[in-house]
Amino acid sequence: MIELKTIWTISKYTFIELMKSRVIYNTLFLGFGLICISYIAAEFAYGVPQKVALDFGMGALSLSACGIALFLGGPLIKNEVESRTIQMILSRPVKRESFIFGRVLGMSLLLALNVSVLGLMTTSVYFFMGGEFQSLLIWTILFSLLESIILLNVVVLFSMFTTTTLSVIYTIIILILGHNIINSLELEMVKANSFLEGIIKTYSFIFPDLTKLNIKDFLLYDNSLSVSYLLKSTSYGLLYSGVILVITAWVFGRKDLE
Amino acid sequence: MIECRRINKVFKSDILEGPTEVLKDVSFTIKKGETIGFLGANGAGKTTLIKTILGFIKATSGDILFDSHEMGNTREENLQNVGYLPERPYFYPHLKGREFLTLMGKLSRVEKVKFEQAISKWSQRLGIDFALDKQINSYSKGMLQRLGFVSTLIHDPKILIMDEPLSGLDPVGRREFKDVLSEVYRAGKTVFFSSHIVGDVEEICNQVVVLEKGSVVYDGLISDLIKTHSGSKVRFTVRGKVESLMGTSSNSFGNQSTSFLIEQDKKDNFLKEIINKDIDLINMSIENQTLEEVVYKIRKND
Ligand SMILES: Nc1ncnc2c1ncn2[C@@H]1O[C@H](COP(=O)(O)OP(=O)(O)O)[C@@H](O)[C@H]1O
Ligand SMILES: [Mg+2]
Repeated sequence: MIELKTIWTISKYTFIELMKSRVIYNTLFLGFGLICISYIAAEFAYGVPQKVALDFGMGALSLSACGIALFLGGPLIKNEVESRTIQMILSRPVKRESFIFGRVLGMSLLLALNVSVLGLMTTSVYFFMGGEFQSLLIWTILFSLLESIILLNVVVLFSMFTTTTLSVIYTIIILILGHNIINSLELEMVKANSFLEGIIKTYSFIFPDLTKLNIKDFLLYDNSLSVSYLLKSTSYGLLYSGVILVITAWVFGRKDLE
Repeated sequence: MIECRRINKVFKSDILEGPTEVLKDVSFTIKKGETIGFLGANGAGKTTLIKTILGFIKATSGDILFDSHEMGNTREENLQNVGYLPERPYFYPHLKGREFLTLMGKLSRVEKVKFEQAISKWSQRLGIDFALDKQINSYSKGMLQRLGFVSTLIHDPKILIMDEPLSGLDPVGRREFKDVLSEVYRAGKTVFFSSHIVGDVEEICNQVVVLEKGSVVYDGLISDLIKTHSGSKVRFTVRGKVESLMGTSSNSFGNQSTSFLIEQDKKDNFLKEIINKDIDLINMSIENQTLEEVVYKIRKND
């Protein structure tokens, strides 16, 4: 119980710290700009205008959430260790795990705020142009958040072993592979080669399969998705993040903090 | 309260130079109600040992033992009783001083009223109350040090562990820090702080642990150290200019007087000589060596 209070305190201060760092305003500004462009593009582009706007808007939202997760997540723990502020915190009755959980939770809250604001802006434009409500709107936004939280956890884990820059680069690679590698299972070449198939299956067991969370096309083409699929993907996202987080906490508990 | 038992620390990080042995079999005990100076030159390993005590780094071998009666059983209970100030403290620059102290208070598991009272008391005492509502990134080095000191006191810990708390302060700040250290010591807290300045330790502490290249070369009372390691000399001051007496050349002389530093066992003969030669003796006193001289001596002997 008291541990939860500690985690909450740390996440609250992390959130405040990240808000004050102003990076968030830049991404919101960027997102806002993209949504404006999407509005203009929708007017001229070939296709249903509100769908074009939605496509742009959701793209911007996902990009900004992943961007924030990567570039604020990389230094999230590392900076604390290097600037030795962590020594002040850990000289109090605070478990190292609680510190990690609190930092990641605070950062996740920031991602949630970012996604909510951009999601609200995107859907407003969409409704303004005459789009109709679908529950997949909410799910798409939620899945963008989940994706960014997975990336956050991955980049934090990498940062336990290497520099901030390298952990961001590795995570970008994971992001790109995570969106594409599963699709390659459909390729004839892969189907014909059981070794290759095995490698890819092992990969997607260890690294995140982000295609599970990519439902934008279903939203755009008015396709529906079963509730069980949506819940399964949500559980996948949460579980994956949770496991990575626990590994990070375990590694961090064994590090020398110089 | 805290015992360091045969602590060794080897850093393996440097591939080119191989492992470096930073702490070698360091053992000593911090007893309740003492002020202990942890004295050593730069690079002696003081910071490394303090980080080991706090659990930031793990010793290669050896144990840090907290007295469970005084300090509790779990690591969290132990830390609730410790006020720690790192070397060159660095805080969240975007927070205000008060926000930072509140964060530390909340994490320390003490009641809000208690730590808020302590914040106002100690920030006034350490002259930082005027800046508590300013952002920390506008603080000077001395102000940061003061803020750090306040943060070590807000949860009313039983022991203060401070890494070079006096470095980076101006003379006024040094005086104030020393006063507060003496004050909390008189109020019953145990104080353990590192320093590379002998005078600071001598002024504040009754005990000293001297660390030299990772090994403890002395651990005990400062007065004992001085007594055992100084062959207490006697200073004779005589009127006028005297170049030498009994084959001993004068230690210093001005126009009016000359002084000689004489070993204890030769002082009687020396006094006789003065009387025989009909020299006017002005003063005769035991010359106590300072800790500085003694520590210098220990180092040379090793
Ligand atoms: N992480 C590390 N890797 C290798 N050597 C280190 C590390 N940290 C400290 N040292 C070395 O340990 C020695 C003691 O350092 P330190 O404990 O900071 O001394 P002090 O605080 O007494 O000045 C120094 O020679 C320093 O170079
Ligand atoms: Mg040091």
